[in-house]
Amino acid sequence: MIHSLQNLFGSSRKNSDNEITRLYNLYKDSFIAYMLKRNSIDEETVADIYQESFIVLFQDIQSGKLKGVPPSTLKTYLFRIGINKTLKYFEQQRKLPQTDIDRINELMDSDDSAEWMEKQEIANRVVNEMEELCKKVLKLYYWERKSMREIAILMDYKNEQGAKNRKSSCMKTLTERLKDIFRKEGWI
Amino acid sequence: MENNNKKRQETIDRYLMDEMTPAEKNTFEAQLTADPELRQQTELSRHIIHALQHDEEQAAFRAMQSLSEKELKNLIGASQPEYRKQPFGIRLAVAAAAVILLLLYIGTRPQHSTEELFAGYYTIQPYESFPIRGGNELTIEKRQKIKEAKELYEQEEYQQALHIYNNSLLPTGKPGWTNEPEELIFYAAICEFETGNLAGSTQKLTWLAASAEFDFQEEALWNLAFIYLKENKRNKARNTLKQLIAIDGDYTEKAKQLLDELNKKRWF
Repeated sequence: MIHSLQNLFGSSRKNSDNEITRLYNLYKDSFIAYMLKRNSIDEETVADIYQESFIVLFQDIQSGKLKGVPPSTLKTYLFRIGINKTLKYFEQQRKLPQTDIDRINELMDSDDSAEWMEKQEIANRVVNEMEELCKKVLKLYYWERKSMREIAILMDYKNEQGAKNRKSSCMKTLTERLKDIFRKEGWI
Repeated sequence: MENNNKKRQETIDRYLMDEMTPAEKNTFEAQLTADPELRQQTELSRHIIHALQHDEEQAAFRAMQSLSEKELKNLIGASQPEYRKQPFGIRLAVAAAAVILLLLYIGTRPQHSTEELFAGYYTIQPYESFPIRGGNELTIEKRQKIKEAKELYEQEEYQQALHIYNNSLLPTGKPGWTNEPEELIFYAAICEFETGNLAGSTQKLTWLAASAEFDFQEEALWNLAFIYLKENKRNKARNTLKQLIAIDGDYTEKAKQLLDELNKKRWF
């Protein structure tokens, strides 16, 4: 019994670690890509800034400053920290042209308005209620950024097209469901 | 129709996943402005992708709550960011300055510790009687007590000698000392020193050292210097010895020698 509990505990800890590293790596690539696209800064520095920002995010979670995942996502929160750090970096280096600041400030595409957040709450619920296979295929695609070929292998589909069809039908179902609710709420 | 929908969704995905080139993005955003249906589908897709993200972020958030910073740093392989590191030249200069400061610190440390100096120089003051001012006014009983205390002092029975000084010969507190023979105050102070009451001893010796009128001024200063050495108060010991040198009396040479030893540095 003790042995099995230890296994369970160990494996749960490993899962937690995986969740963090997956999030860290996924957002790292996207942060670096974003910054390099918009600023004259080298990749190594952006990677360092990202690492520091992630530690700040962690500290905010630990200290209770961040009490839960914000409706605008953890990614937005993390990127905001990263943007501030990038601005500070440029300030210290005295090499930030005004245009770069403007471009950085355009970064976030999410909306913090009450209506957007209300809609997002509903979307969270709808996604949470969808069937597991759909959730899995969509997470592999949108979250883990796997290719359709990889998804086909991971989910045991005959071929890439099978995975594509599955992803497409899941997305269509979700979109329709969400559209219905939004229509009832008078948003569309 | 179905294929068109799939293609449209793929384009939306590429836009939302930031996979478009700037040119593609501009074109797509122009289409968004012109096509309300595309705008609606993009908005719904954005909410769905955020929701999928939200689910995974919740799990990572919970995982981070139960982790220490050290564990997190290990997990993400955190190291000192390169851009925060000082250039090599600056780091070298800082290291060189640190080495110089360390050498200076080692080199300028005193050659002798106060304990060593105390052990090397301190000797107990032999009892030496001076003709007591107004001695004729002393009662027979008091004379007897002074004699007893002296004998105990010479036998190195400082605790017992102190008992007589405190209980039979000296009033408590400075105001009363003025009318007492300085000899009693001085040897009581030495007894206190020998029995570990450094504060009491310092009080009496400081009082005696304050006036050149007193017979025991130099002895008081000399012994005060040793109290300060015992207490590892180098500067106070140094100043006391300087006072003694300034008097230019019996202790001047000894004080010069001790001060010289006290001021010696290691110089590696």
